[in-house]
Amino acid sequence: MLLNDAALNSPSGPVLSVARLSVSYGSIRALDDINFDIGVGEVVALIGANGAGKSSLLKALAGQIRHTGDVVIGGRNCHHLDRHVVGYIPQVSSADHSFPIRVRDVVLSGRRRFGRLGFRPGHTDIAAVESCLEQVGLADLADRPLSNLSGGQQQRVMLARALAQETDILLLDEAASGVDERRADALIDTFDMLADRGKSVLISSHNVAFVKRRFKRCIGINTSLLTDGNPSEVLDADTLTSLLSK
Amino acid sequence: MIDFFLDPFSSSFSQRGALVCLLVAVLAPSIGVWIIHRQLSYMADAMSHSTLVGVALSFALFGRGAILIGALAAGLTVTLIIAYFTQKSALPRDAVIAVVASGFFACGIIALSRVDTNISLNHLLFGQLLTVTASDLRIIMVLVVIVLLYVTSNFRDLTFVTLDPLHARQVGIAVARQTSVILILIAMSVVVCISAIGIVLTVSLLIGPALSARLVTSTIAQQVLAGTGLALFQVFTGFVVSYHLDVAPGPTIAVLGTAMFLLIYLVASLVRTDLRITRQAHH
Repeated sequence: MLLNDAALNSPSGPVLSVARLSVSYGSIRALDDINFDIGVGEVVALIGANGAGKSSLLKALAGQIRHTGDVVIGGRNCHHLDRHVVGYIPQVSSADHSFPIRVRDVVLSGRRRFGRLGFRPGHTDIAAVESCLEQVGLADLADRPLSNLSGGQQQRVMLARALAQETDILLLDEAASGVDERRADALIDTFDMLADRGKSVLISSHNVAFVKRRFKRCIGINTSLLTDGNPSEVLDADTLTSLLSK
Repeated sequence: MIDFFLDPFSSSFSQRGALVCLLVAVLAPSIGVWIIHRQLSYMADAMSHSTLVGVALSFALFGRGAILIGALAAGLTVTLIIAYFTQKSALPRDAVIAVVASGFFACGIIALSRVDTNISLNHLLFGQLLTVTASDLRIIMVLVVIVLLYVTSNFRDLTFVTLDPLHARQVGIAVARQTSVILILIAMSVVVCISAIGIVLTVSLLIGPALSARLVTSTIAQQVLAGTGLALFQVFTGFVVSYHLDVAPGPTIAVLGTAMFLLIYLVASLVRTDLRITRQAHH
């Protein structure tokens, strides 16, 4: 499939376009010929069993691992390691949570995207950090050391950091896992609010009931793309069997 | 009483030694915090031990004035070798460091026994604060300025990469380049520290004050500031005590560093326990 550049560059074109994307680890094919688009302001669930390739897909989109195929973001075909335009929160945080740093400075690191070598934050950066901390409900803990926070709070700090990057697309790997239902719902409410402001979100999950309840669109993968559509319509028994079998 | 503190600094040798102490105390925690949080302490120790061969060879080839440059070259060479093996193979880094650094150190001992120098092995291993020359001092000052300029002007980027290298790369920081620069700066700092307390004890100054400071601080900037205060106390107290006890200043400074760490750890633990008990009583 050839990408239509004119369509992608138009204001109504997809914010993310994935074409023929494949990922291999040695001789093992983790992802095979994945194709999909995500539009402006869409919140999409990426569903699949453990080992289906969800994390690999998000890592590939974030430029963390090598892949073949095209990833076009905002109309621009991205070079492998040039993914500053994507906010990504991995399933297992790569951050050193014992590092001595205040919560607000962790979030500030998201603003580095707009700075240069010898980065000095301006008023806009400081205001953005405050706003992102408020959005995730951590404004009161801004001056606390990161290491003093609970696991759930630390995860929200990482979300605030991704929000501070002000990217058009956010990729979240199992961000709603390991938190209670109320917190998971609050997280999706935050994403819906972001979607109203034109941000797009792709969030992986293996929780079918949660996806059916809270999402209008899901992409199902099991090495290759199996389904794409409204979860309550496309996640029938046969599709679920294909999605969840390994 | 004042004489007790001033007497050790009465000669020009000791004044030069004191100036080196001041430079080392300002430098060590500024680079030490990054060594600690990037888990490079063993790497720094390896660089320090490897400098011996550089000292011996540079003395043989170019004379006394070149030994600090020789030490720096040896430190950088061992860093490159270790980086090559750890990147090209799946071998654990600490094991590679152990093998490479011990080989370099042994070469240094053999080279020093073959080269006709007027420097004693003991001075190199445990410090030569009172034999620092004016030329050494100039090199030390240049190295200190380079390291401090880099770490202060790139403080936030260093923080972001140390916290989360993957994310740092995503927001546009050249992580691999910064890592290489940090290793070069560590080699420079090692050279500065070996002038004060010798090859074997260098990590005591590079890491000790910054580690002690970590026990009582909660941000990296606080850790640098508290570490600098502790390092100043450590080197000058060590210098004065060694003068009055008539023992070598290098080991005295190193012993003081370990004693300070143990004491601060003990006091910090007691204060934390006390705070916990007070909180429980209030609940």
